[in-house]
Amino acid sequence: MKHMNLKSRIREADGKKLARQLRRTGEVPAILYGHKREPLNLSVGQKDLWHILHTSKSEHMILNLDVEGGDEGSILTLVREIQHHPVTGNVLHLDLQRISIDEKLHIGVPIDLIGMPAGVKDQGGVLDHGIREVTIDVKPMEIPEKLSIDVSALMIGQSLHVSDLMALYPDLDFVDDEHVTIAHVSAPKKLEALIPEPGAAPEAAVAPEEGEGAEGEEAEGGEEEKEK
Amino acid sequence: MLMPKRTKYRKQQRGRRRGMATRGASIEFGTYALQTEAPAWVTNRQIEAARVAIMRHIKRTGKLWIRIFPDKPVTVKPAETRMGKGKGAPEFWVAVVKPGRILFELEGVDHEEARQAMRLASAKLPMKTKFMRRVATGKVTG
Repeated sequence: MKHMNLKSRIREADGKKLARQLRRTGEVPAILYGHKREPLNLSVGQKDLWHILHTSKSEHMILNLDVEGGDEGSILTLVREIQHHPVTGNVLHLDLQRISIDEKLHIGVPIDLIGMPAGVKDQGGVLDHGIREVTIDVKPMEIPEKLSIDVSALMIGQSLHVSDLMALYPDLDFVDDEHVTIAHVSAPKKLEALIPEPGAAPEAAVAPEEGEGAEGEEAEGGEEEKEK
Repeated sequence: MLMPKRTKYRKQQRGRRRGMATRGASIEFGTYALQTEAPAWVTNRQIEAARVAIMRHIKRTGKLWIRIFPDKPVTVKPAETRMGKGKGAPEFWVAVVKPGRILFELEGVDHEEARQAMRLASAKLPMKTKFMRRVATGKVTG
């Protein structure tokens, strides 16, 4: 995995109001923690972060952090969490964790499925993803960009599991269970079952009152009567 | 059509739809998604119409996830009724959605087909929506 550089400044102010002010000026509030040291409030440039996020395959990457005004020089950090705005997708906050080169990390690495399964191409099946990333135990300098696996031989009803990935990458230390499914080719559903016929009568709009529902209603009514 | 199997109470108050979606606002299952940009009540008929529009377009290829469920009953008073005399009868069910909520997710179709299917679904819905695709993955544990 390629390590990117990110510049940051020490942020004196904290709180909701000041964080919003910071975002209006094109900065993103961030925090740096880990290795039993005092957490450091930081701010990073929105444009720098945007560039890093759009060139990376995964949101969890290793960054060489330069803190302006700090005395530590370049700090090796892991992006622990990125908070996004639910509608605009803009980055609201960044969590960075100090790491060391010799220390192993549990990190999720994206799985890249190569090829079109034969079950999809020839039999009209549907390729289902199981997990989209696999967790491995690895040193920061040895983190792979992605783990590729060929799915072109899969027929309908066949699956690939983490054990297949383990066989392909014997040097990596996998954390996930070997029985977890990565990809599965399922048979297509009948179209008639998915789309109702135009003349078919619509179902009742309101759920019929059932035993327990009616009991609940009675109980509610009973309480009201008591109040009266 | 989607509706709860049984409910504790038959009628609910209307409530308010302030703020943004805090849950169900990220793509979890598929590659493509339809996200709402405005708050709304989406009825079970609208969800069904959107689902049928997507399924008709993608035919048998691909897989669809519906990420909302209409669990709120809406009551209506009969026409030409004087006010009072209690709340009306439950008529239909709605899903309360806030901006950012993912409505549908699609998998196993190409980008253009997914975009067109979501555009057709969007025409059946009462609010402005946005087409999205999964960009990056990644999580850290331990």
